[in-house]
Amino acid sequence: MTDLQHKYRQNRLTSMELLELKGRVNALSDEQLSESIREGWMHDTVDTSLVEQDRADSVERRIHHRIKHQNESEKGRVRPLHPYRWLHIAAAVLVAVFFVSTVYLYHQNKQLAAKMMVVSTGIGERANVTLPDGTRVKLNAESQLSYAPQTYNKDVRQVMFQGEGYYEVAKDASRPFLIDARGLKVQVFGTKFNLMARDDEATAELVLEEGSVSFTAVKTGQRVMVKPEQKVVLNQCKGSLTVLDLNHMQDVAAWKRHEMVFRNIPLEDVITAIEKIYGVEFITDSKRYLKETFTGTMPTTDINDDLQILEKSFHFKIMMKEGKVFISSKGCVL
Amino acid sequence: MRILTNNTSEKTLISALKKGSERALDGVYALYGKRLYAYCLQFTKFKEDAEEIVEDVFVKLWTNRETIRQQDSLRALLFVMAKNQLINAYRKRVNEPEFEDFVECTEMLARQGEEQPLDYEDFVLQLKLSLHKLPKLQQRIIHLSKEEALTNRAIAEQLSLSEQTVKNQLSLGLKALKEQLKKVSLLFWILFFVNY
Repeated sequence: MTDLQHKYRQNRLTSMELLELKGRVNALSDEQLSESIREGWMHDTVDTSLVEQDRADSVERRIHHRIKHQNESEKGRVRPLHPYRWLHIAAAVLVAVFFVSTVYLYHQNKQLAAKMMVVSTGIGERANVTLPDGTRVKLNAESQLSYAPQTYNKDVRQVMFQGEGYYEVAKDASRPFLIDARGLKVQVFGTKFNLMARDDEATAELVLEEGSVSFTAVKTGQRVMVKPEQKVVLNQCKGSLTVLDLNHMQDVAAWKRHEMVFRNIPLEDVITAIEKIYGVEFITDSKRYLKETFTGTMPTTDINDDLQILEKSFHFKIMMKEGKVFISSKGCVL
Repeated sequence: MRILTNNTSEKTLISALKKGSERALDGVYALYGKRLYAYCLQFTKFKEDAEEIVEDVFVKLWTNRETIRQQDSLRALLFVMAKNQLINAYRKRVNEPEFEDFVECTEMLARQGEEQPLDYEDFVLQLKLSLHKLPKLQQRIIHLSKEEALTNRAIAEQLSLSEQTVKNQLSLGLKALKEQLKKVSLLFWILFFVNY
């Protein structure tokens, strides 16, 4: 090795020797390699005749230049400390940082626990929420459910709600499940129901599938007990409640099965529903279809299926481009 | 043989250096600078690389001057400071394809009775210059063939040429390269390239 390395240093290797040297260099660890290089440095005579004086001088100038820079940046700092002093200081700082961060994190954690948990969905989004007591809520698009983890489940199970959700409330007679939404309060005793209480709509609706709930209009204080297969509608304006018996239970929470069910619904409302689900915008060149009604079931999973259904039902052409849906009554788009 | 340094003066230099004397650093440079330069050059083969190591070592020496524990000699310490860069340069060099060419070339010259060993830096420079004078396609083919060690077929595929074209261009390019190198009369031939 030493011999080969020596030849390498003098540029006197043959091809065969280079091959051998390469093999060895690549096989050795840095530590081993450094040992053989160290040997040469410590003990060999090194021919310095190849070093040009002016290049050596300019190296020296560059060294001084860099040192000057360093000294300048050092000036602003405190006197250099003994290396072990640094350790002491570092340890002290670390302890302080540790202490402060522990207190801070503990505090944060407490605050966090006192805060509200909020689950919300955007356009076209869904979410499944399981509350601490095992109650499950499926959130439809653009809805928000919030509760305080620290107090939830202590005496009552209180949530705040906006939007549309399908609730399966865990049975627990000793701790009533309470929902606050705009203009209404719902008290539940272990049951399944769909609640639609959107801030931007004139009515709120609750359809009960199983069990029983008490539904209160905040404005008037009117309260009704809702039975299964009944729907209660709140008129936000008047604060009045209307209870309806339902024949088509499955329509109600159709969204939960990724379906929409329409019965004699004007096209414009159907379009609004599709816009909400997929976050698209419809553009049409004619108002003529908008009041026509539509009856049918549509999937909420693929907009193309829905558009096809509309095309077939109304005999117009639909084209989609960059999140916009164009309806053309002329049978040919763009 | 061991170069004997005046030990007492190095001792004085070290203690002055520890106190922050730039003069003392000059003294150390006078003592070891050229030797370190020469030794590094033997491994890096490129002056710039060697100079970079020397520079870094002396700047490091200055930065850590207060923690120097060696009292008599800085020789070992300087090596410790240069070690990593030296090893890297060494590993890189022996594995370089051009270095293989270089060795074959020096071997050739030595066989012809040339006493003075060839300088690697000059060699690479001439090679690059000569290569540069070739048509672009030939440059590219030679690069792929020699430096990336691709087969003619692989080159043909990559450049969407026929294998025969690659073959022809490669041999044309190498021939021209040989002529170029002859002209600069630095090398009479490059075994590696001609041997294709």
